[in-house]
Amino acid sequence: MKALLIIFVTGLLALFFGLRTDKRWVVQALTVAGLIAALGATYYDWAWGTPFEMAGMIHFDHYALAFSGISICATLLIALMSDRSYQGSEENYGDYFALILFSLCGAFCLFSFESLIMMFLGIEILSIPMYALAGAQKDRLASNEAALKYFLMGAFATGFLLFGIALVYGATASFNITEISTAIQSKGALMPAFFYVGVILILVGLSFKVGAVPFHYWSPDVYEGSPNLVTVFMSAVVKIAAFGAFFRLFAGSFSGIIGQWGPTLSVIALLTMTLGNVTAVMQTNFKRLMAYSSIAHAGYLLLGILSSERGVGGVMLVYLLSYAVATISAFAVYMALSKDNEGAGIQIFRVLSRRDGWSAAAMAVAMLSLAGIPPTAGFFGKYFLFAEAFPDYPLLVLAAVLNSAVSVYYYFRVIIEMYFAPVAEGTAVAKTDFGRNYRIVIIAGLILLLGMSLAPGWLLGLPV
Amino acid sequence: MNSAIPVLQAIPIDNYLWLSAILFSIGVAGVLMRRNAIVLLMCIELMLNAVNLLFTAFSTYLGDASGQIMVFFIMVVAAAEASVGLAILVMIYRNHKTVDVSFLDKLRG
Repeated sequence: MKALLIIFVTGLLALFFGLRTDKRWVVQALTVAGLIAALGATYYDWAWGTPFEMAGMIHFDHYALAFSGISICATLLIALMSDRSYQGSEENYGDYFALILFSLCGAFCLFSFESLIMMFLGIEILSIPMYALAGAQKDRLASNEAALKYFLMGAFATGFLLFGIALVYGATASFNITEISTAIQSKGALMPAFFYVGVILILVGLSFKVGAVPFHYWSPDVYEGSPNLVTVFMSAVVKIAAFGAFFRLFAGSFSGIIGQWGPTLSVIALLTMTLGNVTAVMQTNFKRLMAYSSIAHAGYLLLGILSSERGVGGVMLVYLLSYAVATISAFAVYMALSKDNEGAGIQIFRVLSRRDGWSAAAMAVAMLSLAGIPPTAGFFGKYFLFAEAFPDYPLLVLAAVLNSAVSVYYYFRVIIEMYFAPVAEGTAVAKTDFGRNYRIVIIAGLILLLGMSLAPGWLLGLPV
Repeated sequence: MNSAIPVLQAIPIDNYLWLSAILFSIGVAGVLMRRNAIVLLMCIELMLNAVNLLFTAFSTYLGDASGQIMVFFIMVVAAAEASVGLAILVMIYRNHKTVDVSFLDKLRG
């Protein structure tokens, strides 16, 4: 709860200082300081605080604090590298940070809701700033288009989610996730049929948000058209938030009736990972490649939702953290190399190993982690997730493993481009100038991805 | 208000359910078929208002006020969404001189 207040106040201050000063580092330093303070407050609450609870609306238990912690870490990395990417948008520097921070407040609501009202509000607080951010480059047609598509699809999904919430409320007379779960147990077979329609509609609404097939079609366009920094935020923090909410709701309320929604979600998971990976193989644009990669990862993560009755919150946490850090680290290298926000192919990484060894290494580790190659963090994320899902869904896990094998192809294309691309004899390869901010993020990503694999069970052992 | 509740409850809940399901479906069909972005916005609004109707109906039947509170939240959020959506539309109109969504095909993979 303290973290939410700190982030909200930091957002307001960023708005204010953005108006009052034209020195960018002031706003950026303020944002970074606010995020670090929020991280400290989250740790304090985790270690010594009593869980904050408000009348069945929100409850900052360990699950909420752990997910808040990793989303603050991800936002911190994103805020650190935002210096160069905002060039050309001088007049509203404070607004970017403020909107990102307000969006993060929505993510906190999504990790801690006890009531479906708070879940709906959280999704909207998360999404509405993102609609504005996707269109932040007002003169660029691609950014306009991304904003409109994201807005229309987001609002459309909200309609489905709300209709589902209304039906569930009508059947159980409550918005509280614990009371809904109790009502399901006590009514049993007497539950009206429209309740199950409601659960499926909520499932559809949340599938839109996490970008699962067949509700994914907006995400490659939106990822490609949005400014780079917004794309990173979407693929890291928004993904963590959507899955945090998805898991909390389905583990908290609906795990007792998995027979009704499990088959639907299994099919969605299978389609998501297969279509995501197969389409990613054909992509040449780096941002679209990452969009399809994020769709594929959503497919694996849906296995975690399917195993929600086993209480796999910690597994989801490890997977989401490794995915988010690898994505941010890859985008940091991409953003440092690309001079503008126009989409670039993976040729942008050509002979990076000779231009800048460290960032090539970081990019390689990020790609290995996304592909799930040991000993990176992504391998342990995948291993724990698949191991939990295996007893109940052996065929789905088999499909997921085969899909991971497909994904190796397109992640390795980037590595080959960096290390093994042919260079004509005698041509001098110019060193690339990486900004200090990017270097910090790249090194931090490298350390996190390799560090997590030194003690993979540590995060898993947290009482989530 | 109290005298109205028995009258409202005399109508079976299924009728409200069907009415809002039909309104919601009209909204969904509109979003999928129309090309003008303003009309799309209106269709989304129709979807949300169908949900509002359902919430008030359930709230009356269950004798539980929290459904009506939810309606207020939905109205506030719909207003916030509409303001951001209209701002995006104004931005697009400046650049394209149209709000027809079929012109938006810059992003293809």
